[in-house]
Amino acid sequence: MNNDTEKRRRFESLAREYATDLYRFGLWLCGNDALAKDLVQETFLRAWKAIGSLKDDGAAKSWLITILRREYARTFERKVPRFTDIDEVMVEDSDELSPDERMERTQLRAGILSLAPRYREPLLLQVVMGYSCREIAQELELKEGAVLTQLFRAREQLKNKLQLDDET
Amino acid sequence: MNRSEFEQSLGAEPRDTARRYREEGDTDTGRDRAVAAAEAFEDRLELALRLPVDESTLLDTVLATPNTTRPSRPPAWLGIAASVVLLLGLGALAWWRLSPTESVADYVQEHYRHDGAGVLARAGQTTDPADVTTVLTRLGAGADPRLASDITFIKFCPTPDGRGAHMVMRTDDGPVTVIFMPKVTVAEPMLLRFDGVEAQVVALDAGSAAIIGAGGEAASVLSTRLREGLKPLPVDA
Repeated sequence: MNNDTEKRRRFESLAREYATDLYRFGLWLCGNDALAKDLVQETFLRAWKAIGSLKDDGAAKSWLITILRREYARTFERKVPRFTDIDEVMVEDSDELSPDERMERTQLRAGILSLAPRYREPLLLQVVMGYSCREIAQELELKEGAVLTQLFRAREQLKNKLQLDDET
Repeated sequence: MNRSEFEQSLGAEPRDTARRYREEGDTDTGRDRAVAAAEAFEDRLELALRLPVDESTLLDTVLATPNTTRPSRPPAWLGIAASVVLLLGLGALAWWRLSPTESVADYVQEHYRHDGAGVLARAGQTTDPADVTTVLTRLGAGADPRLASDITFIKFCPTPDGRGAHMVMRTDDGPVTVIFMPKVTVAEPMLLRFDGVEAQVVALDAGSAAIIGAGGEAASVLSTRLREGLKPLPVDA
């Protein structure tokens, strides 16, 4: 198998395994569908160029996440994108929900978007990307204790928001 | 682990904490209840975060990425070398301009064969106008509101020179595919026929566009609308 074919095979394998999760992660980070797709495409563009430097495919997820987060930071340096309501840009959920469940999910999504980035990002890394606390700490360059606190507070804020919404 | 530590751990790592608690085999009604509540919340959180994704379109775009490779910013020393080869480059450009049509024609044909039918099938969906603006802005272009409101689908796609946009536009004669190529210039319009489809490649102020699947008159009307309504953004925008 020649180098180009092998490079393409590795690239496609990474794309199939991680593109969807990266897109979800990007969408929750920036709140904009088109920008999230662009972030993912930029991430894979950089991955394609540098795939030779990825020695261990087991490290691919954190490698891609790091690329995406850097590209996201660069985007913010250029301009602040417009935030939108996630539910406006997404197709309908395919699972059948009662009106109460639908409302609660909408409230939860609004709550996630309203979390401060220092709470939202660790939560996304944990729940969307399946990171452990140690991996989150490495990615965000924080101490594990700080990550645990942020994850705890993120969930507390979401639970409080749901309770508040129920009361009003 | 005392009760407070347990609750902290459950709030930060609910899945792991619940698993460890079960493995330890402790029985504590209060902790059982806390674990059940935390897991129920986690189920709801995971479902809320798992936004539905059009995986096919996303994967198409990502897998096309290697073909969209854009030149990266060259290091400063390359500027000197670049000036040395400038004259050679001009010669090459002159040669290229004699036969640019073949590569654009091949690209339009191959791209439409690869992706055209699938995208057109999604023409019934409506795209958020904000997404149209975002995609076009990233490509250095802007559309007037009327033109933008007729774009029913848009996504990034590769072109012979950098990225472009694969769009479906609403017209009086039905949906029409338009491939916007912001960095591809054509000296004069091209008429292509392949697979029973007619395509026109026309020059715009912002690069060029391939109009695919519209008849002669409809294509002409649409090309005028694109020329008038799709403009390059000011450099500082």
